[in-house]
Amino acid sequence: MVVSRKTSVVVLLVSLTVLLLVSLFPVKAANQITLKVVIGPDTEDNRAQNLVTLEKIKRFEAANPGIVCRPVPFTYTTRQDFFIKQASRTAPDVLDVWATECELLASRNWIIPLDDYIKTWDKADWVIPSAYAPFRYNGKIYGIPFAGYVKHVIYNKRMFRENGVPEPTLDWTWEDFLNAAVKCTDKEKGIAGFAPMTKGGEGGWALTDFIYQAGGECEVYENGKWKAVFDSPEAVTALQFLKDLKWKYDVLPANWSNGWTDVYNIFGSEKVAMVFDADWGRNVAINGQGMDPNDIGVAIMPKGPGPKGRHMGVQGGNFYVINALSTPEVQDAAWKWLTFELWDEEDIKALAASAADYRAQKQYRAQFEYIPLKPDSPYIKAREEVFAQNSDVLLSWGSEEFLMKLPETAHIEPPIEAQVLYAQFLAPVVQAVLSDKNADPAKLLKDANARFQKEYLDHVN
Amino acid sequence: MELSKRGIISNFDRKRPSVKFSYVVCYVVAIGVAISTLYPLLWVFFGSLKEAKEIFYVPPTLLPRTFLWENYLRAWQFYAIPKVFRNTLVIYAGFVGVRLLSLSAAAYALAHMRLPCRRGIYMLFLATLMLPFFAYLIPSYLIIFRLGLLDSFWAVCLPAGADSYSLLLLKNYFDGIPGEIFESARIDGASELLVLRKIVLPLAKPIIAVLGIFAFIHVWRDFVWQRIVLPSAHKWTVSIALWYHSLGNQGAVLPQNVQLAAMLISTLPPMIIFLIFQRYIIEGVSFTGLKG
Amino acid sequence: MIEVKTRHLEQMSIPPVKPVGYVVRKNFSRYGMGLAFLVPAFIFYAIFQWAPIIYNFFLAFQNYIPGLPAKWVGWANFRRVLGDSLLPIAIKNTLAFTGWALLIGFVVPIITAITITELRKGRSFFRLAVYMPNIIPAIALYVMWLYLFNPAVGLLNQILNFFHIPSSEWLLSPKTALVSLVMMSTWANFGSTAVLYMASLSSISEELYEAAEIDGAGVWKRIRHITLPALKPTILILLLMQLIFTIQVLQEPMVMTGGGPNNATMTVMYMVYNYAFVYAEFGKAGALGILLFIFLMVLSLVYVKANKLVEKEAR
Repeated sequence: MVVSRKTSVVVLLVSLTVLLLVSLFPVKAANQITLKVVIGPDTEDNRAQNLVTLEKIKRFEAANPGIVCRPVPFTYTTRQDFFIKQASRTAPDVLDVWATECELLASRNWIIPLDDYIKTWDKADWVIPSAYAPFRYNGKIYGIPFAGYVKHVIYNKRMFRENGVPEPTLDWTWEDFLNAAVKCTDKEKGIAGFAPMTKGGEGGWALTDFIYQAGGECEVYENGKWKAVFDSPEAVTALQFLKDLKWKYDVLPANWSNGWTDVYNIFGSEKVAMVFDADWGRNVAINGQGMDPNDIGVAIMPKGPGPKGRHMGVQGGNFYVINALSTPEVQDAAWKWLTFELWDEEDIKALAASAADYRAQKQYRAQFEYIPLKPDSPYIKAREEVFAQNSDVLLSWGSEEFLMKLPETAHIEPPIEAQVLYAQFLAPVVQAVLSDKNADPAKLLKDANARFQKEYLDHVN
Repeated sequence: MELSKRGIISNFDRKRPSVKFSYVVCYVVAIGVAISTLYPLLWVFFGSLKEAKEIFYVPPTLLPRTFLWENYLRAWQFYAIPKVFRNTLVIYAGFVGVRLLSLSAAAYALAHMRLPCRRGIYMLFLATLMLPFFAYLIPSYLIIFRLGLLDSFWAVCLPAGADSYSLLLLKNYFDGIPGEIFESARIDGASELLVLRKIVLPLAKPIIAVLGIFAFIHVWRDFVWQRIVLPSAHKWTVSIALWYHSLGNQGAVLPQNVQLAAMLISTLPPMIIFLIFQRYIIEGVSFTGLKG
Repeated sequence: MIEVKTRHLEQMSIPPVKPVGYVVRKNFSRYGMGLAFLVPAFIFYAIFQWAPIIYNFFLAFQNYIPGLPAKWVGWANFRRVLGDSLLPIAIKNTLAFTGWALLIGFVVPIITAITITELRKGRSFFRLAVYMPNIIPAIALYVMWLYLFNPAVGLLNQILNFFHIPSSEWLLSPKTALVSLVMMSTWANFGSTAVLYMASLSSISEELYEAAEIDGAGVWKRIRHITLPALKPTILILLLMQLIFTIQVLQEPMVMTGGGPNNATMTVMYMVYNYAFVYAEFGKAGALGILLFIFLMVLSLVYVKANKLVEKEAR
């Protein structure tokens, strides 16, 4: 009795420890082609979109016997979710990510180069070659662009009209921009001329627009080495301009600390005349705040001062990538999924069907999207037709000239550690000049530049 | 139920003018504190009834121009309140069950049973009191994954079995119960389980009530862990829903008034719980050993 | 219930009964039942607490990319973490946050608890009012306070303007951002602390006050010589718990300010989080996590020591 109790306790403890250790070993993958594809979280607002995806899965499985799709609820809104899913190898085999993510994903061998697939792809020469730019890494292409943008200005037409501000032209400058902001500002009513993003990584992202406009760069590749150059006189001019908007001209909102969503909420509630937008911002203003789409105008970015000044905005968009942790067979299946119905008739049908949904819900398809295809590709033409037929809910943005000019103003994001640069080095600088009247832009940038070089770029070189 | 007939100030004192004055000061302070906690909530409440645009009016208005009660209806539907409330309550049941079973047994053993190197074992448990939780998110997640508990309520419930703060409170509480009670029962031939059932549990009611309430507030407030282990929306808890629709989903098209309404709805259940059980909180806490 | 309570009170002066000489005796059967009672807790702790610690220890010396085999890199992670120009700022902010949080969050609950306990009427209302913020889910708290802090349309500046005090920038200025977060966090958490103090207060025996009063001690003297000493063990424990809790501050700056403006609210724990979940540098996160853990372990030893000192004094 005594012995058995003692033994049983010891055995129990030992076996529990063993069980724990065993449970830590990897689970063996099943030997069949199961393709993990992205589906939105099953919330009310995603329901329609998810039904579309599930239908697509059915068609895909019918067309590709032997492949079974498993939808994984996932969005790439915070990187955390992706890292965690990679750690447990439960991330989707094919997913869409932002243009900024190339270096992060490719340098860690999380995604595969797609050059071999592209060679065999019938739609390969539809794509505008420059659209791949954000996802070129070490001479290879890691992502397929499916929706692109170039950041530009969106403005409140009504406010412009009421304050006697002329509509922005294709050659407007910082001076015109400033003039418009000053005229629209009405601090008594809490109305600001311009609202930049300043909080978190977006703050740095927003500063780079001004840096490029002034003629500056963030990172350059010289003599086989990466060099941080955002302490250049042009970059200082850009930061000084942002600082003056706050302290000299006072055209920013009193609550200047805003993230991505905040800026478009303010714009939508008509408390600011101009904001920069890439693609989805106006959706918040229109569908969230109920702003009249007819009141929203678009313009290319204003040109910076001096001989180096240029119209320029960050180029980005969404890319499909294939997970490197998947087996080669699954990767092949992933490519099939990626190209399945892409820019096909089904896509057009889905777009037309979505128009009815928007109409029923009294909403708009508001986002700005660049389809990265050559203008003469069949898809573009069919798409334009659908947009024309449903112009009451499918919004298209800007004049022909604007759309022609916009690609020329595109600037890709810094290739190395862009998110670190934005969040940890540029955003604090932006916040420093907006919160401190006496901050010295040149000194701040010089210091941040040196630290970024030492702590990050030198480790890459 | 009033806990003591008198405090520092006696009835006699109250007749003295200087004390009378400080008694009034006490009320002023208490009212001040109450205003500072309740007024912001009232402000938020009015904000939740405003039109989306009115929230951004300068200067801001206190009372909404029109009371938009449908904001609450929208929040109720958009955040799928009934579903997330139900999920959170189911999780809570498991959470508190696991925690009490695991820890009260351990605390009782540590306080009143024969153990080798009792102090060492206790320290081993307590060492994790200072665990910086976020540094261990990935390992913890991987373990949940390996156990196959991902996207299951157990992923939230089971880790509740290891919580040093609750263990500390429980052990302090059991330490306070004289060991003779158990000793005499054991001498009378009662088994440990019988002692546990007939003597310990009835005595432990107050502390169990306290831990139950603490656990409720924890389950209701926590979001970081819940969010990573419960990816499917039909398993979402209150916190995940609040996070996703207000902060997590960039490009969320939900106006602020509806968001504020949802925030207030989410505080109702813990408030009701507190109203019902506040007696136990105060009483129970005085049993936990954190006392004079 | 009352009976139990008094028994418990008496017990305070008697050390808990301990079995003697058990270590020497080789008879394990004596411990069988006790150990069996520990098994569930042992399992839970092993899986959810000890294993992650050990795992994290290895992580700190590796270059770990989720999903791929890890590489050993020795002390490189520690070197890069200690060379990060953000670390001194984060340490400074964390200590400042802790300091402010203790300064405000430590005194306010005590005063509140004493005041409310003294009231003859409406005690449960005030208790609820004080505890109210404590039950708000964290996310709801942040969303509400972002609204309250808004310099243009928020409540706080309305209050300042009402008293003709110039508006503050709150979260927007590096000077006030950290203190604003402390304010919010105190508002949200002081209720639970205050309730613990109230419980302690209500267990002070009335006779002590009666006796003091008969001896002619005034109200202040009673507070100094009876109330505060009686609260001392609670104060000591709660002080250390608050210390350890506030040093790990992360969620507030993460959601409210993103660490800004100009890193004014960047904390150590936030750096750990960023390393891991924004920059995918899990090794660096592990290294900084370990440094923080060691620091907190030292604090926890102090905590246990202090606990013992108080116990001794109480006997």
